[in-house]
Amino acid sequence: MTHRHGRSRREFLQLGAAAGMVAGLGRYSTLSAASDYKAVVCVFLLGGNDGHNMVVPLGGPEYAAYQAARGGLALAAGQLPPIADPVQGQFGFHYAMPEVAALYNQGRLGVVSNVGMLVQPTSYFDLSNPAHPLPSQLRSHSDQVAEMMSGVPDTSGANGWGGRMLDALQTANAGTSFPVSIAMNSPALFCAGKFVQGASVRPGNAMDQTFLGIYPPGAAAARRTALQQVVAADSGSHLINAANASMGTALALNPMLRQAAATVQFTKKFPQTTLGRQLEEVARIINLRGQLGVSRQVFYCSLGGFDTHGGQSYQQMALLTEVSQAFDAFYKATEQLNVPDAVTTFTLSDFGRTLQPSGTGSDHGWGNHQLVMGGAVNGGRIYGTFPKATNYANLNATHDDYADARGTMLPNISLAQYGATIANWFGATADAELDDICPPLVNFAVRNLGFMA
Amino acid sequence: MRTPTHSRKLHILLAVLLGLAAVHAASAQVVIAPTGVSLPVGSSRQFSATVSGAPASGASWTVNGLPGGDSTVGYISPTGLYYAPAKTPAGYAVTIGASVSNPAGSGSTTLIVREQIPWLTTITPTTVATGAFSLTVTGSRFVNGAQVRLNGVPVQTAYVSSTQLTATGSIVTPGTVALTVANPGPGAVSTPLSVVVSTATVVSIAPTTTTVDLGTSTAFQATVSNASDTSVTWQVNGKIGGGLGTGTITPAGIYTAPAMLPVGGLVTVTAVANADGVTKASAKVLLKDPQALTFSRFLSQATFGPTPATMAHAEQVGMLAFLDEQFATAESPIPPAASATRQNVIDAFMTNIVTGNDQLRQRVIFALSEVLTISFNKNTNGNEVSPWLQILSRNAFGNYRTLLRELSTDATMGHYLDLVNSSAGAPGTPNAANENYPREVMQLFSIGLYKLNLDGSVQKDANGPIPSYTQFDVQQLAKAMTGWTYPNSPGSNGTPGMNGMGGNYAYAAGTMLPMQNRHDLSAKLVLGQAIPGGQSAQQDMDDAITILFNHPNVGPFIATRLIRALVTSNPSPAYITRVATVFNGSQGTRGDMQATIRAVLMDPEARDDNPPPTFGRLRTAIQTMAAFVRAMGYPFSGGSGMAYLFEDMNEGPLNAASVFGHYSPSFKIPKSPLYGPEFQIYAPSDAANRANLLYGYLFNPWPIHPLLQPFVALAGDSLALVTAVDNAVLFGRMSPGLRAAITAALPAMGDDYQRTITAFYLAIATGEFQVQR
Repeated sequence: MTHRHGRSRREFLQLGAAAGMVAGLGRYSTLSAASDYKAVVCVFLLGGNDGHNMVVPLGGPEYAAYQAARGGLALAAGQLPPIADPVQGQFGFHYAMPEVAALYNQGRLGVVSNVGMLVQPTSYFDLSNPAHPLPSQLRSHSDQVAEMMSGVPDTSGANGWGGRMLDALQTANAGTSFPVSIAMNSPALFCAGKFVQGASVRPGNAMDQTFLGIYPPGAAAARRTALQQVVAADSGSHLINAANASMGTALALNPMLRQAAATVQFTKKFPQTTLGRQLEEVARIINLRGQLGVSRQVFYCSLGGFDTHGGQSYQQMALLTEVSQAFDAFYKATEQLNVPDAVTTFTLSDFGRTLQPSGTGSDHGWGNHQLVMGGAVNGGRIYGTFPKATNYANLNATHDDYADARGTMLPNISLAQYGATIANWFGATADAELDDICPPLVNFAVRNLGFMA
Repeated sequence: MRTPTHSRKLHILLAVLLGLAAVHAASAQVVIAPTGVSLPVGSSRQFSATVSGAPASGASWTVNGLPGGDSTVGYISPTGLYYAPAKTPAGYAVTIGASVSNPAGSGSTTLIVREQIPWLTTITPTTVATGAFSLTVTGSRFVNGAQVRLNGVPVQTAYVSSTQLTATGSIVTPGTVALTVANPGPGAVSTPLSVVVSTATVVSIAPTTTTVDLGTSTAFQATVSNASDTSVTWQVNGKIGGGLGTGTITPAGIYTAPAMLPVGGLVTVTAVANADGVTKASAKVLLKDPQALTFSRFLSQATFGPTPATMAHAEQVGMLAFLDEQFATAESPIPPAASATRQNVIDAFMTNIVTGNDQLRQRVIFALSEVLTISFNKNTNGNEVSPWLQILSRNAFGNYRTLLRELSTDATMGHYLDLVNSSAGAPGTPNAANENYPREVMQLFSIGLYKLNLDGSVQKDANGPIPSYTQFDVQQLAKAMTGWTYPNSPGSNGTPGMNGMGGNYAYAAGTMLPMQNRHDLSAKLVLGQAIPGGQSAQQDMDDAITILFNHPNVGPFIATRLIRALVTSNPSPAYITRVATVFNGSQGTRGDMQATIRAVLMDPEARDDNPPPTFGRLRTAIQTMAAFVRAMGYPFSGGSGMAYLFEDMNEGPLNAASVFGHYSPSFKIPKSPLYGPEFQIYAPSDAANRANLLYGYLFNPWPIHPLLQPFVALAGDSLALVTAVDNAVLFGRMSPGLRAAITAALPAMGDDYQRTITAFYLAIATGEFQVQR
């Protein structure tokens, strides 16, 4: 990495401002990047999704053990859309996820089971060894969210593995002034690289400022010029400069986002839900990839409410319905945009939850199941060894499925392996790049889980 | 390398030789275009050379015979682009030459290099009486030696600066004269402005613009010409003798500024000639609060933003007395649970913030609401939030232990973090004590994740940061906190057990009821301290809260959160130490909120009026709105009706996404080592939305909010407008850069409404207003 790739925030603002002032879309780039385009879309299920009830084992003794362990949280087997893994047998998705089950059965979506934050491979036996390194602050929301986003198993991560993927591919994006790493609604650590700046966009909001839309045009131009002058000046206060930088980015993105909203209608309507609207905005921006001259993009979407300590049955049902319908619409949008093989969507969550309930909910756990969707995904399979519910009743060191008596899954696959498999597909193929993107990867023998084509 | 002198001589010699050669050969005439050019200093012009109508390729260009020219006569490029020098050359003229070699030939043209043409903005006064006069001319590009001319005739001129001249003389003929300014040399005369010379009565006033500190006096003088009665009547803002709000003026012209800044901080003093009772002259008085910086900073931290009234009051009584008054001020009302709705709770929350007299309490409630968070996103009914808000309000100035204890068994929190109906579990059932509240009460409400030093830094050992608790502690605390259910709802029979699990159905208004048969009776070990077995749910809860409250982390943990919420995102370790020491009881009682808040606000680091670049905190959207509305005196009531606007800025009132509040206390400013929690909800889209919200306050109702009319009245004068806006919302702290940007934008505006809106918007939608420092 040479420093010429690093573009300062202020330079970015100036570039963006210049693009904003000329306003014509054709100005952004004359390059067509569509021939080499890839995007990854992270969907973060905030609060800690209960993976035990997202993918349920339906094989005879496994389902019975699941049902016994889960008590009032157990889902009725007959309601679950069935899926099969060629090796591990019969499973069912949560009954709220028929669309996701269909995508799985079409080979467009896969499950990666029991993924979690790890420093190095960890067995049940290792847990009783105080010298065995574990991620810091397991089960703490704020820390595990930060670690999942940074890819670093402690809270020292200053940037995210999404941003670092783009750091490795900066030359591919040399022709664009549009942000390549975009979080929906508010900034996300996941999107910030060491060099690449994370940006954030609100669905359906082009960052218009009413103030700038006045007559005569000369007055509007004078207002815009003054505003740009104010936000670009060095005030002498770091906090004022930072606040102004945010406004500066809004001014720069405004004309491009207006264009994004205006240029596409999706045949399959997106559900107008929290997640549906975010993924719709992602699809709109992807639609502009040619004009924007961008060839690698990272997006971050999120949906909150998964911290189901109580009332889990109805809350998770509503949330997974939203996920399933939004995923379905988004996949169909990528087909409409002719990029189904170039866009990979995947889930993250703070952590999994305990198999054993407490009251009407469940508590914070560790390992969890994740979804990966896209034309480039080797779908229709469950990756990793799915923890056996039959092992829960006799918790001991002869198997490594659970970390404790509450039924916290002990991760079998590290986030680093999960992330590196995606990063490798995205184009960061060198070992050194992958080790930088997913630092704990150096401690794992398997560097690619094989779920990407 | 040759010295310049040698080079110059050689060039002249060459030029002479070439000239001779041209005469002798006489084979090519080089024609240079354009001719008759007059250029201002510092500008450029392209010249071309032709021979017999065809471009003279490869021509050599000279200025006054110097190939390529120099800094005195200007430079010329190999392609004939001439750059005039920064100062006028001798005789204001230079000669451009071009020569070709095959066939040999040359040509030249002389052009004028002159001063820039001056621009005039104002003349004061614009009407003079016949006889002696003295005029002040302001504008720009004045050069030393510039001359003021009346109808083309030079008058005595004194050069003050590049933007100001004074002209004196005498004139006997009444009428309108054209005033121009000529810079030295040819062709640099301004366009004219008019001055009226009158035989009628004329009043002049001095000074015409002045700055007066609040409560102090200054003398004005009026001169009446062309009248036998030379006395005047003095007015302030059109009222004879002035008044309380605008300042007073004596019959002798001694103006005394008011004690409190009026809107915009600008008044007009007028002298009316008694000879006719009509003729008058006015002066602008910019009122300045000499303590504005000190007290606006203080009130930005201790309240949701200064108002003219709180500024005057705090300046009068002083900061410590102001705090004591605030500690004694009655709580603003919060709807009781019985009548609480989501709407009226949000209304109360917002209205109290903007208009409550208990501003400091409201500021602390706001801070606590981001630490001890509850949200409508789970507690959907008004009565599931209002009791919590009442606890924060009641205990904001009490003791932190009481606050923590009350919250831990309040049904609102029990519902929000699932402690309610947490049960030891019947034997044989797949059930365990709920860990949610036990975890969060440690992580977020009391001790945090890592062992802290008194200065807030994290304790480390060979393995890195030392965790302050383990999963074992969470599970032990969970056992200690089992056995609480919802209070009996109105009309119920008072016997818990209705939900089939031994507890009450959801009803979150009130204190949770202990259910001894659901309480885990085993002995517990929390953070290394024993809680005996067999105790009641209440005894266990008391013991648990005592263990947490007395943990050494609580002081630095709460000190840091309060400092970040009230004063600065990046306090020094010494600042945290001082506040944590007070929290720990150095002034009496551990957990004393009044003493702690006083320590936060009166700390030397908070009170430094020349803070370092890292100092300060970003206002949230709600705080920005409140600061503007308070500074300007907008009416405010309700607030729930605009909640959706704040939702779109990631700050839905009392509706955080999770117990982590609207923003993380450990959020760092992008690409910076500095903390900036509130920046998490100031992404570009938030910035645009926040700016649009503020624009609504300026623009509605069309064409401008009536409260801004006083600013419209003086908007024709850019200096007055910008100063007034500065005083009104930035309390005299507007940076020169912001001032210049606003001033530059104003001339393009269509009218005084647009000018006023432009000035306000640029001041409040950008960083200097958004950041509290």
